[in-house]
Amino acid sequence: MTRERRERVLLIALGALLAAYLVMPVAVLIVSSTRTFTEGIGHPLVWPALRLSLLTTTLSLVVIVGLGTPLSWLIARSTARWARMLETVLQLPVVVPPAVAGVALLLTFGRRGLLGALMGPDGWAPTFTTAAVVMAEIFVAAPFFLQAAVSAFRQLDDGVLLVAQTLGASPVRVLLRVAVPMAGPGLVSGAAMSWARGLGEFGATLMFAGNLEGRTQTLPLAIYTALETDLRVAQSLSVVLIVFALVLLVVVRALMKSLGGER
Amino acid sequence: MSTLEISVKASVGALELEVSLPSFSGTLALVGPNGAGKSTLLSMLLGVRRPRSGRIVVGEAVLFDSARGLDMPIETRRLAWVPQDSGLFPHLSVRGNVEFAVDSARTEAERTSRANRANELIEELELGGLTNRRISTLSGGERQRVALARALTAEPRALLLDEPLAALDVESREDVRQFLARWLERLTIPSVVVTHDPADARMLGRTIAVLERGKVTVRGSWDDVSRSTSGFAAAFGVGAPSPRAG
Repeated sequence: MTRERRERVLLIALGALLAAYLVMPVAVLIVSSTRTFTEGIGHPLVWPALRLSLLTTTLSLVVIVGLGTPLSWLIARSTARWARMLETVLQLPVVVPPAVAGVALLLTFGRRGLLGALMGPDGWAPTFTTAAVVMAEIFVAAPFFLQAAVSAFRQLDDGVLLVAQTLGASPVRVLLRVAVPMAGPGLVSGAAMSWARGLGEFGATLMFAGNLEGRTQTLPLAIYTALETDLRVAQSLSVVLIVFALVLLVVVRALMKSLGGER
Repeated sequence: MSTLEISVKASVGALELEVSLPSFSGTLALVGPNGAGKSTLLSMLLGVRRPRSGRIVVGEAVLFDSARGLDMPIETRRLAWVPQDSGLFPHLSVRGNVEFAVDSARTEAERTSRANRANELIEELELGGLTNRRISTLSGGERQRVALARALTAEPRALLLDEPLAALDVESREDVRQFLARWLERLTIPSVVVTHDPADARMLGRTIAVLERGKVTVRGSWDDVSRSTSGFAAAFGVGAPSPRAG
């Protein structure tokens, strides 16, 4: 074997090792669940968790995109030092462990936290409600959208945006009619990443919202609960999550292609 | 015929810009080497950059007056700007691009008037057959016509063209230049054309101003500028009788 060939084989072997490690567990999960899937999917834990996950991730995504679009636009258009600093600070939830995020949310919005102190001892607090699930998801998932959106907005041609202004377009009109459509593929991909992160959210939800069936028990929490009693249910739930993720990937690819194809 | 009057002072990086162009009508061709301050001056007209002092007046409208603390925002200056690559919105059709100018009107009356103007321009600029086309499918010359239609739909006080022919290939450049010259001649608003190309300056500019290191060194007709050896050299490269781009 020549040296070139040996090195090529080495590179392939190294790459294949990681690829196999990443693909194998998912493949094993899907293959081993084919028989038990129909049994597991009928378990009473499944549907409330699925419904709750869909509801909360949709709500959190609406908030993230609705508020995150203007925020990322402002950051992307600003040359000020504060914008750079804010951009970095807003990425904190990505590196903070979810359990720590849960504690931070409790301290801020919990009954004994900052909000609780303002509302009084008998006042309302979101902890252990569905609202807490949405809040936890927003906290951990928003940075993914923000990062993608800021980067997509930064890549826009300044000249085109300036032309829109010279034609008399108001700031909101420039954002909604020019910047958002032009940054479309980046925004969609950011929203998808953010949604996927929200769907998989576990740690912060458990700490801040608890694990109450039908109220705060999302799919990942239901898997955790099922694992203690019935592995088959955990498997079925896991497959459901994987199917969601796959569908999401396909839809996002198609969306980005159609948005990009308009150019 | 409306007029444009520019007098601005500013420091941008190492450049000391001090431009004074007394009131002019028709087309002013602004020429000069790279880094002379042409783009900086344009950005001050548009309201992107704020001069340290000076006054910019189009017709009756004072866009900037440092003495009176007046600085009109970009959106209300109503200066149409066509950048070098025409700045068309890639996600909209030809009609969508022109209608953007209609929908950006601030009042209902303005909107109606812009809509009428848009229809006229689509006809006059022979864009009727292109209205549903995507921008990416247009030729360079077609893009310029769409950009011009969109710019004029906004019923601007003045028209600013930045290197309008630079993005075109050599074959279509002459056609578009002649076409543009006819169009600029018809306009009742003042216009500024920034260019590197003597052929553009000669054909498009009623007045030519040579900008060097932030100052206007020669101003006059094509004949005046070409008689001034130093002015011509500064504008188009040393001793250059032939067109030179870049």
